[in-house]
Amino acid sequence: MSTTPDKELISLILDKSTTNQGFRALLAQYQEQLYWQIRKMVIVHDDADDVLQNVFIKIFKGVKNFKGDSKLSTWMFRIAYNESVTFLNNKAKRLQLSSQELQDHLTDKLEADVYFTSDEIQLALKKALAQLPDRQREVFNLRYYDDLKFKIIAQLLDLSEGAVKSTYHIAAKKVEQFIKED
Amino acid sequence: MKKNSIHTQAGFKVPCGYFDQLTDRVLENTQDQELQDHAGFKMPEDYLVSLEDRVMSRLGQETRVIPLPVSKTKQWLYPALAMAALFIGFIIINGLFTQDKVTFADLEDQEITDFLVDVDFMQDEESVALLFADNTILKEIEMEENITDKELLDYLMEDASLNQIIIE
Repeated sequence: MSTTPDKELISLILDKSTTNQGFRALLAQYQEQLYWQIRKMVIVHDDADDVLQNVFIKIFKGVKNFKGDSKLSTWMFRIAYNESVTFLNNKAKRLQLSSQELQDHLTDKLEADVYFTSDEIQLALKKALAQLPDRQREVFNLRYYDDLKFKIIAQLLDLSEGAVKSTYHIAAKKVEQFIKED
Repeated sequence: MKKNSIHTQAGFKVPCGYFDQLTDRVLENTQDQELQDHAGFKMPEDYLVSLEDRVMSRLGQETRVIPLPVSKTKQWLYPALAMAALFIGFIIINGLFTQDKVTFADLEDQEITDFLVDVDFMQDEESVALLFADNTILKEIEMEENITDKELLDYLMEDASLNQIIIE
């Protein structure tokens, strides 16, 4: 699939005569990337779908204020991240669970989820990740699965690059230990 | 086919049915890689196909301003209600801020005196009880000699004119 440069996408959206065309192009270009990012955080497909739609609504409403200080993808990634965190907090509150309990609850349900692989290694990894504090889990997901550079993760999470590196290494050690013990 | 025969002729062999299963196995490996990349999560088939339209329809709903349907018979109703609300508001505000609230301080001393002269407190036991229950009058009176409340009460009931005391 051919990709449209970010600047062109923004120009199309900001021009009233091509707003819809531009937004459809943006959707087509980034929907899958954002879906997987959100899904890894909220775990359940239906929740990911809700969050993703909200993210695109927010992108659409906020794109006129996008100043181009960062890449468009980084900006959208950050919206998706914030929206996912808010969603998880609200869900925990609704179910009257702590953040940690919510992760355990979601991971327990994964075994019966038709939209999750039956691969035992992946399940063990998910259970290990559920034991991590939120920040460590987020950094691990972004580095291990999304293969993002530490510098980008630092930008996304408003952390220093050094803090991201050490957080990732601590998280990786914990995951390794958990899997060995399990 | 000619190539196969060349390989066969060169002495190479492939397991029976190898090429029949090759496509499936390659695809299987590709899917596994995809699962690995997505942390084991799967996406419902055709999910992304419908997503675009669903988001666009939501955008349409959120940005479109839908005018409220107003029937012709009710067109006069809203201005009338607005006028009524203004009128009631004016009365309430006017009443709240301009109405004189009569307090004790607003009464002239002479008016109080005249009232007390006209009304005989001693004729009404309830009034007397109320007066003493309040107890502020007694406290404000400075006595040169210590007397008990009971002695004072007896004196007032028997000998003094309460009206006269208050007037003084």
